Amino acid sequence: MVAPGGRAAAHAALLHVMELRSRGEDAVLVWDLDGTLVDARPRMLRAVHMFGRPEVQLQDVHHTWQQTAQHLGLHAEAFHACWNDVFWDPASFLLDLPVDETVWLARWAESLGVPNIILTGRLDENQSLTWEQLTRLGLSPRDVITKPSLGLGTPEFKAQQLQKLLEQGQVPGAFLTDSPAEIAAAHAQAAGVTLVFCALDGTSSHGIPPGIPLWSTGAAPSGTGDMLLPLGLPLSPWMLHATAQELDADHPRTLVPGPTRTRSQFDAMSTVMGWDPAGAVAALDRVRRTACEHVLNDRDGRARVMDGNLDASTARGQPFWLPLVSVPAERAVVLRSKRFPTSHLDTAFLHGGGCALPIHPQELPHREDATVVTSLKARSTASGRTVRTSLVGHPHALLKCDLSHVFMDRHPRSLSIRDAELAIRHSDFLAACLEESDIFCFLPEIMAVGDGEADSACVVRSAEPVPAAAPGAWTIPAYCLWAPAQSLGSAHPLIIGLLRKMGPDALCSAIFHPLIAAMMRLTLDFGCAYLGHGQNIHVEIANNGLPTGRFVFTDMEDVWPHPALCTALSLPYPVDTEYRQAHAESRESGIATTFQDYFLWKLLQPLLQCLETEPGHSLRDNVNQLIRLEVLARADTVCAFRTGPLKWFYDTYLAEDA
Amino acid sequence: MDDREQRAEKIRAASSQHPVVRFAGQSLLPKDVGFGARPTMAAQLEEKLRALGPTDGLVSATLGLVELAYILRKQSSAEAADAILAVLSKLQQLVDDALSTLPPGDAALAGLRSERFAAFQGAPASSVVVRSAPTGNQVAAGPLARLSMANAVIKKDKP
Repeated sequence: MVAPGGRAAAHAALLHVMELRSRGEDAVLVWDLDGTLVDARPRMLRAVHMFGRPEVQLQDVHHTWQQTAQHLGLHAEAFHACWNDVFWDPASFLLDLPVDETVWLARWAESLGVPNIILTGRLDENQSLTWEQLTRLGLSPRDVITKPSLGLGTPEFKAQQLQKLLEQGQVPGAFLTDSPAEIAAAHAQAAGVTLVFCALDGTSSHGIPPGIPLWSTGAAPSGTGDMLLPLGLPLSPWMLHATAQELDADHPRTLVPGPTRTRSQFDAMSTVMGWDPAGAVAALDRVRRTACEHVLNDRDGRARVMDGNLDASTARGQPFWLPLVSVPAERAVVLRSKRFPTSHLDTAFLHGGGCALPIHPQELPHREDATVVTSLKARSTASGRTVRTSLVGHPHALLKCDLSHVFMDRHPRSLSIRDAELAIRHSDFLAACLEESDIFCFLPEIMAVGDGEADSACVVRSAEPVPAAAPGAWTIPAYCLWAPAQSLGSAHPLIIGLLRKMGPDALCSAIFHPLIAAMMRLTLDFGCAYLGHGQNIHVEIANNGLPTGRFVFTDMEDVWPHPALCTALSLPYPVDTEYRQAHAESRESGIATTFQDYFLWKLLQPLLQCLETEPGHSLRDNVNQLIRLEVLARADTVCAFRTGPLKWFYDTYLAEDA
Repeated sequence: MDDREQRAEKIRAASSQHPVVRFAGQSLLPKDVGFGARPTMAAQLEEKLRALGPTDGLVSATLGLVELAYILRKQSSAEAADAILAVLSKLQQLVDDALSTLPPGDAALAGLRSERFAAFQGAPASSVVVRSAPTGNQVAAGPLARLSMANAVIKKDKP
């Protein structure tokens, strides 16, 4: 009789391993893989389809080939031969589905420093694809133990390996598997190991010794209501630890949370953890944005967001204290938006007749006679120099700091007083251009403080978009759509998940159409060059975990309104001689070149390439057509400047029709 | 001439062959022989490289080497000086490669842009376009700071 221990039994097994480790033992969690951490039935289904039964559905196949052949009435010997080829084909492993409950527990264990060891019946030759698969699951186990040959009986092999681990000084504190035969063999030969039977749908418990707890792991993800992450993914262990840090709460070592997907699940967990519910929600909101911004940086998937020589203690979303230094009145510069209220920020940034200038901790040693007057708890965004923090009267703010002595992504990143002035001027300009419910929206940069002598500034960016977002909506940088997302608990990039959930037409409506429409509005209606890469443009996510259909543009320094277009289109930009000169000299003020180099090549191109990894799902033609239609809709503007700044748009999209 | 000055001289001599490499080498000389820290050097170097017209990949590799050398420079040891020399030699090779394979200046950029756009519209990408693979992110200093970097007044360092 199997003991129904449920999730609690598995959690107790982890706590048991942690207790062993606290006593100095090298205790580990040992996991079976197929049927336990991944559901391999899609692989079985592929074998059935290849055997000539394409009508069979996933629910009709079993975990073993024998049961599947019997259930479907297949010729056992012939099916076994086909199964042997297809089931172990490397391409088939991509079809495996993660088992949410078990993968979550394994990730949580890793986050607490408890090593996992994978003990699988797969053969040695499958090692590399198994490691790849585990990486996709967001796991970094200490070891993967595979069988040297097919002839070895898997249950006996695993029981021997458990024993061997013990002899090597690694204590297999718990073994979790979906195989009754493995449970029985381990029970008989590896005394002292806590065993947990992980029962996926349809897993037979026949042969399980009495007293072994059963954990039903195959239940569909539960929970309704507001989703906390895109696609309803569960919060990652990092997010829960970081939320605890934000709340100055104890590290949750005596409690094992389950996968948390919804607001109600999070509220329930907060109560169990003893966190203040409202404070926990606010902290989580900062943490989830930070986590998504660093999705590329996690687990070595650094892509292009390189750290340079930024200290690890201030990179990748780690919490740190951001110092504010006193700038005397004669050197202090305070710049304010003319459209957005800023007086609520005075408490934070005005100091002793001068100002309090936020200085990145790594920049501080380069400042002469810096006197720190206070500090703010902060976490960096992916850009490194922009940090998230909470201010009095502005609980959710972003501060862009000067990092002129630190290499980030190939450059030292200075922020001069003039840069700050431009950012605020551009925010005011774009706000004045907007119509009610405009498809273009952005994060305004509303105030800056600086040191005039050092020509160093810090810009305050609101985290609330203009026009305002729907309640519960939030944003992630667009590159998160195509980045590896295993640190968010997804084996596939988010855009692939969205494609599978929404289908290509809805994806076009929710992603490509609004993205292109908003960019063309900025480019051709507001006459701006813009570095529209995947970090500057954010996707807005609704509280159902899906895109709202709005994109939020950030970093107003990277906007360059064109003087001639501003004049011709009667746009309210204060073009002065100094700006004209800067615009003429900059390599980043070309409307067509920045559109191609950044928006097309560094945002749409990787997004389309990611989608093209899904066979038969290229949306390239649709995207090209969408751009063309948006340009056509502004043909009068493009024609008016066809020999000037919009020549490329005219030649590319209108010349044929003309 | 003490050890440090000798090392500086060695680097100066090694970096005198090509203007871009010379610029990089001078920027990397130990601070105590009259050359201050040059944090804006990479941005200036990138500007010079772009003018030569190499691909994104080559610029990226070159700047990676410069960044490495910049970090090494902080160590001020004989080993670091040797490592900087090795980096300068590699830089020289990269710059020579760029000069030998690509036309200079805006023509190369325009050509690359045109190829990229063709690839974006669905045409098979050339090896140049493939080498300059798309990236999600390109971040740098503020635009006016970037604009004025060529003649930038380096912000005051703590003495």
